[in-house]
Amino acid sequence: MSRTTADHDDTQATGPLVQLRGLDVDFAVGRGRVASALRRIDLDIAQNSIVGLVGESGSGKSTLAQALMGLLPSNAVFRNGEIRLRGRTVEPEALRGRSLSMVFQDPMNALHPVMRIGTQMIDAQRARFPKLRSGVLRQRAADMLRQVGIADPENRLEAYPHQLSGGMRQRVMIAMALLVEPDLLIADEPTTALDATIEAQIAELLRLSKQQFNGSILFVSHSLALVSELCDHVVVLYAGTIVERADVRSLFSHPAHPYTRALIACEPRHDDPPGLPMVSVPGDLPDPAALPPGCVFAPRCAHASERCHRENPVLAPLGAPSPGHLTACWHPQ
Amino acid sequence: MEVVAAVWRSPTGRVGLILAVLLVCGALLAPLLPLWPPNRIDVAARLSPPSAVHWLGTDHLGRDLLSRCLFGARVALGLSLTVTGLAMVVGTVIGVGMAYAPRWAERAGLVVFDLIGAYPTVILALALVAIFGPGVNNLLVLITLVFVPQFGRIARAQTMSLRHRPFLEAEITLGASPARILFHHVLPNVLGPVIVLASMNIPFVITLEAGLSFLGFGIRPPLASWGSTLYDGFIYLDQSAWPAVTAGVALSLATLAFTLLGESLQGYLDPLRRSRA
Amino acid sequence: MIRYVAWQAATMVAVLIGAIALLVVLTEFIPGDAASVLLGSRATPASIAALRSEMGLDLPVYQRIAMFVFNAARGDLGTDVISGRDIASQVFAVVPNTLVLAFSAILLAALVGVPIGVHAAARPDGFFDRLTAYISVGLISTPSFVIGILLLLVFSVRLGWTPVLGGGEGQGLLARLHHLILPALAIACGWVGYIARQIRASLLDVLGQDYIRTARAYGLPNRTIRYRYALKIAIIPVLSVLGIGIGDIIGKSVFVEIIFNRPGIGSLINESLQNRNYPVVQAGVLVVVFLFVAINAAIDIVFAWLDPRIRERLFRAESA
Repeated sequence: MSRTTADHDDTQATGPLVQLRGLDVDFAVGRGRVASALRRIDLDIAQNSIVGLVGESGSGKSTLAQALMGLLPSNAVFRNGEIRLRGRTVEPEALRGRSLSMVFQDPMNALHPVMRIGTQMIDAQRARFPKLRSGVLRQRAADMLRQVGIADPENRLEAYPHQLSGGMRQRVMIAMALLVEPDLLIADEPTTALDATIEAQIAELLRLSKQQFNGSILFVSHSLALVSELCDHVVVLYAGTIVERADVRSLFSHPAHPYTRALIACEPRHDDPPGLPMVSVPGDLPDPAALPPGCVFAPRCAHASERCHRENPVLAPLGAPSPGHLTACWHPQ
Repeated sequence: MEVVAAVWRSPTGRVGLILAVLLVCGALLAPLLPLWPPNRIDVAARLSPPSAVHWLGTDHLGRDLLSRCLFGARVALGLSLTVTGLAMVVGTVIGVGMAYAPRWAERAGLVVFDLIGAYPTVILALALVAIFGPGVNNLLVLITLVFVPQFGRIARAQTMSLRHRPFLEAEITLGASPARILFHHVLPNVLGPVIVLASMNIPFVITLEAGLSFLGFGIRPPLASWGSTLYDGFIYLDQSAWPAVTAGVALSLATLAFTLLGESLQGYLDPLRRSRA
Repeated sequence: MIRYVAWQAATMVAVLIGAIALLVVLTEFIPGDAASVLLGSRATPASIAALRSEMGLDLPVYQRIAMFVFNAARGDLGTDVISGRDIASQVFAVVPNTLVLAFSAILLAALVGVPIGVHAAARPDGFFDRLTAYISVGLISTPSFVIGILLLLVFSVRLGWTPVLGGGEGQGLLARLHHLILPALAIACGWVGYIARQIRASLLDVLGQDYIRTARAYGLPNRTIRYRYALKIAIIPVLSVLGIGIGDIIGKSVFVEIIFNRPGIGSLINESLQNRNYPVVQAGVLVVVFLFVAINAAIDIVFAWLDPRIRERLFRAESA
């Protein structure tokens, strides 16, 4: 599937597709308290790439994804931050369903239970193709269903979500996301709610789709394994801050931030000898309403110095041999 | 009790509580207050508007409206509170019993409930009263009967859902006797929704009694009832609005008070409720 | 779908037969007996006996139940001993009036209540929302006959805008509407409050769901989301309550028909009750129950059509 005419700005064709600058998001959590979900997020997503966003539960990954789409819940306060698409500042609400589309975590609840799949898929395309007739949109939907591996698409369009399995529902969601031919497809933990076998299939589907359409994917996940297989670049998020960012090979071969190193060490490998004790990071995520001064990982970090507790490190390049590899740490390894 | 405190805290609950307390006090104290006797007929003063002599005016027989309203409150509140209490107790006993009873008994009970439920409440009450006759005592029994199924259903449903909770099974394995389980665990949890239902029921019974009396099938004269005062006021509506309006307002205030009370109780006892008003 | 409809029909018939049985059994308890009560003081033992056999009161209960069911199925509800006319025609002559009143009330309540609820949900806790909440509680708790009398007082007696009596028979459509508006309003008021609150609550609940988030993610306009996606689900609790509400509305129409002097089944039942004319009361009550049960069944069927999960749940539970 190739892209139809989109609004290319040729002078920006070589720059990053999406840029986030200085994004801060807080949540009002009742009784006047405020929890900081994201702080000073700077992120670039290059054209035609798959960027992985990893972190544990509560790190702010989903919040970031939602902020990009302008889908933050009503108690969120979007304090600062600029989102740029191809160099131009944009309001995400205007781009939803056109340049931006999203695949959600739980496909059961993400589809309207009392409307047929076909109707939902047709509606999803209207923002992007307002001039096309329903019949045409329906045909596009059927074709896309076939592409994502759903047999007998014409009949499937008449089905209701509860009549499909979890894996199929997620394929439908991916199909919907691809139908609008977005510049950026955000996949928010698309495999978390699925079985392991289906997980692999969906990841493979995303990879194949990426080969066919010219946009980029932001793949949010807590599974390092999937990210390492699927993505070109990786961003590591901890407690609302980016602690490291690099291309995938560089990140996994020389992880610089203690948290990243811990994450990688925690994942059990298939060639580990039996009986090997499992590694875990001691401590818990900090309370987002009462963050420690200085580096946000310092309370759990084995290498923390006095400076770490005092000053918040900023993202800085490691320099050669990996110029694109940045980390926010006073003592990168 | 902390329930009262919680109700007081919510604005709707506060208004409801104040109104209800005022009404109950008015009803209880009515015989002691310096009022015109509610049945004192004074044809010369019939259908008069409010004055210094008759604060709310008089009805078509010259009876003082203020007095009839307060004495009517005795009937309305007394009946509704008694009926609701009775229906609550009887219904809960039956409902909990059904949950423990053999299958056939439970089925039979449900069938009876469904049969009673097939009749719209007002129609059923009318039919029963028509057959068995009007009057306070009959009303007491009949209206209670009408509402027992609702309480029974809720009590049974709650009991059934509780019986299979893991904590209950844990207690049984630890050797707790059925009686202890019943009284210590099941009943307190059943009472929650039952009390909520009771509080929402009171305004309904008040309205039902007033309605029956309105039609002439409820409280017999000379007992004062808001319903019959309303009816008399309706007949003479073109000559004086006061009897109808006073009885109507009294009725509305009573139902409002208990509805508000019931709502705030519901908000307190059911923490899953998200909608406010 | 057909199976579901058949299931509903069968349940309906069972409930009706049960209701008839209950009613017949209850009439056994009438002090004195129905015949002598009807005849009143003019009764002689001979006339009582004659009336009893005419009314079939000397037959055993189960036989009377069976007879009644059989006759009712053929549309024969007995003969009115007082007027000599057959009861069925009396009842069916007035039922349309009540139905018109009931449906006008519901329509009015829905037309006013749903938009108010939607608007209140659009800005929760805003001024409009809170105002609606207070007014709703007031409307819900005030009994409909009080509202009816107050409306009558203000608009008919004092202002003379609407007629005081009757249903406007024999006059044109406009006159009938004129007669309909206050009674329908009296019944509708309480329901407007209820519907507005229920819609507000369900909508707020639905709007927080994931599928609404998906719709927003694809740039669907707010109006579409609110009215097509959200309302479709939010309206279900309201519809289910309306089913029970029919019973409530028919009960209310008893009073409203009396207050506004409209013909209808409520008036008929009341009149016959006052005259101790039990056979007519019986027939009237049964027709009411029939309407109640039938409308509930119809609503259940509409639900099953709207939400296909319901159809399947019923049969899955059955086979389990």
